[in-house]
Amino acid sequence: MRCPVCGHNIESGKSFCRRCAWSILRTPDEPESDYNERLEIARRNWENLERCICQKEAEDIRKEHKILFCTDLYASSDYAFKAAVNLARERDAELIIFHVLESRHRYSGQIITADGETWATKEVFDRLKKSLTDYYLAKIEGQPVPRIRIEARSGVPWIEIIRKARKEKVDMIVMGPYSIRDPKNGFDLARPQHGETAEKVSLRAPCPVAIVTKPDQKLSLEQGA
Amino acid sequence: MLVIIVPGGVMTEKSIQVNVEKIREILDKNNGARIRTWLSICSRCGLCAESCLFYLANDRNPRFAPAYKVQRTLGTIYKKKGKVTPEFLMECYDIAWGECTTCKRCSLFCPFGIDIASMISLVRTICYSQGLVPEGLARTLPNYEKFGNQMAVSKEDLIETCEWMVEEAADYVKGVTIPLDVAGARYMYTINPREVMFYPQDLGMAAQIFTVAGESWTIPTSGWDSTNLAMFAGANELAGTVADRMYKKALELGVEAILITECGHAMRSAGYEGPYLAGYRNGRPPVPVVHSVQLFYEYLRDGKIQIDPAKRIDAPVTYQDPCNVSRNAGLWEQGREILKFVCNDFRDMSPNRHYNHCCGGGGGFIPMGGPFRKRRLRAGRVKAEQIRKTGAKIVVTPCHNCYDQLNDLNKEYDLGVRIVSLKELLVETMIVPDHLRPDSAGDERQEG
Repeated sequence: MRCPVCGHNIESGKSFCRRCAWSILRTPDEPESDYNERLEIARRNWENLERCICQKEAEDIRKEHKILFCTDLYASSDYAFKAAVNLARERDAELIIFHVLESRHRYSGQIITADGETWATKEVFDRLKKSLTDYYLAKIEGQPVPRIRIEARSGVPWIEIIRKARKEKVDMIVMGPYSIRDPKNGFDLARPQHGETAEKVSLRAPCPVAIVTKPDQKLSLEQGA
Repeated sequence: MLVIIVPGGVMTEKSIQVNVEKIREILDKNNGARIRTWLSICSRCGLCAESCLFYLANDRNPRFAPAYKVQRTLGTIYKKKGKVTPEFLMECYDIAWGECTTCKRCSLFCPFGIDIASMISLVRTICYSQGLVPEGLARTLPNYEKFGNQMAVSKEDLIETCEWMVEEAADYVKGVTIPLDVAGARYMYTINPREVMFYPQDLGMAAQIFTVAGESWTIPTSGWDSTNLAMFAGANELAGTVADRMYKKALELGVEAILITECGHAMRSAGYEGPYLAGYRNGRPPVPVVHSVQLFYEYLRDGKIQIDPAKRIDAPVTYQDPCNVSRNAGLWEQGREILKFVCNDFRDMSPNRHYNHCCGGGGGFIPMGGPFRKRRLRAGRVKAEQIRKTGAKIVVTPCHNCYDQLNDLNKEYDLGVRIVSLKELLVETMIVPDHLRPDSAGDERQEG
């Protein structure tokens, strides 16, 4: 028989619809009018729900994917870059290469660069973007990535990464382990091998976070994610 | 490096040209009975010297005695009637910003009650009029004009950060919100842009506390920056505009009071210097100003927030009195009362309360950045020794400036302490009532 709410075929021997969970059995002492009212409400709800699902699917189809690759400017991020490039190609997504210049004080506009402590001026950002462009574009092998954007900000790295991910509504954050292993401590499997930024981003991000630590790790996005 | 501010906020470097007329104008404007008396009455007794952290941190070098600093700068400018050389002006710049945090501790020890900090502020105003101001402060001034806050935070960024923090805080307290621009709320909560830029969790924690206390509050989307670095830069006109912007927003929203976040100099600006700078001749803000320390104390006193006895802190705790909250706003007991609710082992620094030393990061020192870093850390030696003597493992401070400076001192002097704000402490220890506990989906799944 057909479900009176969603029209789905109800398997024989089942007392409820597997699609919309409507119970076909009536309560023994329920008056006809109450049942009809209940049925009407369930139909209306199902219609709304169906509309929502369809809209979401439509939005997902329309939506352009974005991959946020966060770099700490160390070679340990290179594996993550390779994975991000693969993913961007595979999903025809925009790849955002993002770096945060860290502020030494939470109060001051000064930031730490390779040349030491300085003020976060436009020239500093322009220089940084140029070096990011030179470095990463040269690293792309084979097919080009459809769209690449290079951005930089100053502040606390994990906060700015999450702010960016939220603002851009990115589908995935891809980053390196953000950790420089202290040679004095040696390799300790019991201790986490990623830094504070990777830890905080992975805990608080609004989207999946991939921390890539080895070469040739493949990433994928679910359809419609 | 010299920084010259030209109209429009564009900064260029060039050598100083002393504008005597302009200096005289400022001198004449301030040549009232107060300054004249202060400058003439000082008997060079030296009592202020021992009170100054720069004097103590620099091996009691008399050059750092407050009386000397003010006589050397403002006293000389008055004596020379403004006819000073660029080299002398450079020296004034160095003393006014590099050797004084305007903490006002010396005034407590002066037998005549001379307000040396106010005179140093006047020296800063004179330097500013000649285009001499530390770069870190100068960089914030155009931001106040363009964005209405010192860190160039846009309205969109503020709203987005509030939304983000509401999502995070909802994991701990059900129904938590950050109401924006709500007219008729009890408190207009004004914040430090640092909270939006570098420390958004602070906003989330405030939202949790206010929700648990059932407070009626709102964050305005303009006039929300309660800090006033223009006040420390000597840019009095702009400082007045900054303070007035906040007052006007509070009047527009019709709130009962302006609530200041855990920031010291924001209280100084909004509570007792801002009204004068903004032209309120009675010296009172048009809307009452309340500091978070006062409100949090009231919450605990009245039982609006209750502390979980099991979560009370066992580790030794000490309290850093921010100059502008304790000494200058009189809230030293309220801070300690809060800690009595929260900690089992409270150890006071010596000296404490209104006699407490400045952390060394006040008066604009922290935003002045790298060029002043060495001196700031040296001046902080006094505070580092104070903390070490208490044996505390946690230092609580309701001031963003102190927070950053103490974190720096912690590393520099290897203190091994954790620096926390009152909000962090309250959120860690308060009881979230049952009706505000978030539904734990994970638990239900496990049970099911």
